[in-house]
Amino acid sequence: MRWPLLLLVLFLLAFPPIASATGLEFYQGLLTKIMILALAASSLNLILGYGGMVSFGHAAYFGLGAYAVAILMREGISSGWVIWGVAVGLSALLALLIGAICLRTRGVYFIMITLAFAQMIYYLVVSFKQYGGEDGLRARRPEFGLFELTDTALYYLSLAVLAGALYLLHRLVHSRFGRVLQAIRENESRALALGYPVFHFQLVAFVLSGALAGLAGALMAHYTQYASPNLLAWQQSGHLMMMVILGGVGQFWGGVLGAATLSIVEEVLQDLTIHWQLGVGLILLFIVLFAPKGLAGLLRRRP
Amino acid sequence: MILLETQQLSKRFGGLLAVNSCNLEVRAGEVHALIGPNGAGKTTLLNLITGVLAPSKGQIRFDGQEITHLPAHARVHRGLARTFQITNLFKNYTVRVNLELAVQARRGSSFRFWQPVAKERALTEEAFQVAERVGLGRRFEVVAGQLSHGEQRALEVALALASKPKLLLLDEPMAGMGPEESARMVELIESLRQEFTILLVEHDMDAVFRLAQRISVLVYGQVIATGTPEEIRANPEVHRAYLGDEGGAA
Amino acid sequence: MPPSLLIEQLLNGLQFGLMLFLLAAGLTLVFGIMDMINLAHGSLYMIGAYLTATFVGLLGNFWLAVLLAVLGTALVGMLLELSVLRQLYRRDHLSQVLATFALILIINEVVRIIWGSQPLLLSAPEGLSGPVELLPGLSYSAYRLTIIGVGLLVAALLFWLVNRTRVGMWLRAGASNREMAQAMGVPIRPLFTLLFGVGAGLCAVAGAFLGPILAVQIGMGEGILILAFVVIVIGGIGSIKGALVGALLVGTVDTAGRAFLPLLLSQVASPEVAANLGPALASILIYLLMAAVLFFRPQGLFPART
Repeated sequence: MRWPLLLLVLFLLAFPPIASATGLEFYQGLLTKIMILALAASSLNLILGYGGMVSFGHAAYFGLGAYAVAILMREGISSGWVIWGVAVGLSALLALLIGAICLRTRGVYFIMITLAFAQMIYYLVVSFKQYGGEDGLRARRPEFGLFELTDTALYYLSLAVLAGALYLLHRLVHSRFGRVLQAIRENESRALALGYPVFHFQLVAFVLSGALAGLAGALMAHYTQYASPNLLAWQQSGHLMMMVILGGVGQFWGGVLGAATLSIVEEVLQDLTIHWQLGVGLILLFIVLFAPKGLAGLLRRRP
Repeated sequence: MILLETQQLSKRFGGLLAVNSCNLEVRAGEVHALIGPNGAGKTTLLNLITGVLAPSKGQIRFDGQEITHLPAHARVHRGLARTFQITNLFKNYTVRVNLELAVQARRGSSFRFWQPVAKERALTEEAFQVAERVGLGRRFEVVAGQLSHGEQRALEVALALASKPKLLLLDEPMAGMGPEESARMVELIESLRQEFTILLVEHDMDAVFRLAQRISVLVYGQVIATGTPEEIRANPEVHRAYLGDEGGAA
Repeated sequence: MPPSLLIEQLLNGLQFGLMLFLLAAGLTLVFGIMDMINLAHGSLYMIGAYLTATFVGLLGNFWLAVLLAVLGTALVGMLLELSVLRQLYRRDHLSQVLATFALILIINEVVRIIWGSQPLLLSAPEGLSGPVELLPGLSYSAYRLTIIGVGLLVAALLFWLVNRTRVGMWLRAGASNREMAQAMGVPIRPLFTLLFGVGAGLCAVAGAFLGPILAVQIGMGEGILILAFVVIVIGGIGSIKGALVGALLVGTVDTAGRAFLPLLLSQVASPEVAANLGPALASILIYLLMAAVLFFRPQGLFPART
């Protein structure tokens, strides 16, 4: 995995100058979007894949991060670092609250109650007319002091954040904590009988995942310069889940692969037909039925 | 010294009183067997003692302290470890990882997010010692789900051993075993009695009368008699309630 | 607050609750018996509404159109079960969520291809468009009253089917213990297909009758699907009785909350705050209800599984 990864990083680092020289700026934007979605999907993969917690409400944290940017900018706070802090902090806090309640339930009930909480956040945010209501809210780009947040700066910023988050997640899933988290997914009653406080492990992972999703949401708001209610909608949660399962549940690169593949497929299909969602649905159905381990699973199977 | 004591312990499931004012005493250092007909409430009692279920009434004292409302994971750290009647392992993990997880649970914090656990030699070494102890040293890198039934039962015991408990709760360790595997398990428990206090729930009467110093008989959720194997054999009430219909096994 | 307003809102709540029940009944049985999450259930509701609108356009008779739409949707439901959903029973919940999410995307696009993106016009049958006077000074929409009647009738029929017939006995046996039911020789496979057909038909009834009140458009099934999930989680998964209680609860709370919460708030807070917070609170009321129920009874009000 080391060489392809190094090549990929080099390619991503070199892409913007090449793009501007060859008039491919459009693809720089697409890559930015993919990296942001990859961050969000990877954060979901931590609880979904490694923790076995099927959260159907991840859009809540993602959308909250975006709205934090838009609302703070509107209220006159323009320091990017402060905004990021608030976006991450709020998302983590929300995840703590939701997780503490939801993690008392299991199975279908967990899926449904996470969904219900995300819906609550959606309706709450949408009902505040001064923050745009159903139209969403413009989110100007904040100041980061050291650099101006141009499209290219955002590209590199997203790359840096994604790389940092992936490094952190990689350490995490191979640490003592990560091993226990996966053990709980494998066999909860056994983990409890060994003396692990299952609830605490799950909650910590849940909060961490929410915080990373919040950061991804903030980046998304920088990218689109707009906080849309769609980011909070349950379809967004489904979309993120789609990426994770497409890429590979509990496979380290699952989130990244899924975000990249789905975004590219959508882009291509949108060019071909207005009924592109039909194609997305068919592909997803095919993956679930015939390749349950996702793309990462397919890649791994090859010798 | 009394290591474990339940006082008037009861558990109600709807209309059913599965455990009914149960008084049980396990002394430090003994092998204490808990026997009783099917449905007498043995597993429910174990679940109450380990904290998987919350009692409806009564108290549990362990090692001089009340633990009635302590969460299950905290009881493990106090020195209570169990095996399950139905094998309960990390089936997709190797024997090594299964045991490393057990060792890690005992040794300090698992809220470490940074160091790769695979490089922690100390965990592996201790895990290997435990594996050797139950005769799984040569199967260390085998996935648990691929072990034979007898080996899985041994791993089940090993997982409990790795937490270095004061009291080992064995829930029907011989369940589903052939005579040869049973004999090996008896040998294993025999070798553990020096080091651990053991509460043994078992249907195999040969094993029970061979291993236990004291036996408690549970019928309809109540302990109707406690005593040495000889006393239990001679107890008419036990005969009537329990050995009467399964007397041939003794 | 005048009592006639209160009664009107309660009737609205009853009417909405009964329609929710029709959706939730099929969902809860599928959920309870097969342990299967079917997000595409809402799509059947949408198909029912589209078919009704189409048949009304072709035949000019609302009631005949509803009948045909129910049969057509039941057929679609059974075809879905035979082709895709059947593959998912033994899979984990995650796969079921994803696969049926994919079905939503597919069905939405197919509907768009057939009927276009514009909402369809479906109006209430002519004789029922006006109000009727229930009590002196209290008039109520005749159409909504009809919905209540139809809802009660279908609910009664469903209870009879589940509680008094052999098929119903099989269903209840399956909901409380699947393995036991199978061991007792219940013909599970055909029963599942039939169940999907009935569930789809119930969706179509709800879609047909709500169509003239809400809108017949793409995506109409998704919001109401989530409400139906809230209903069955509150009621207890697998329980028809739970679905009915949950549906009436959600229908009433939601309707009453939207009608009265802004009013109540304006009594205690400034108009500006009330105008903002009222609708917000009203729209999350049922989710709060669900969270509260789950907190105290994690298996819902009427757990079906032992």
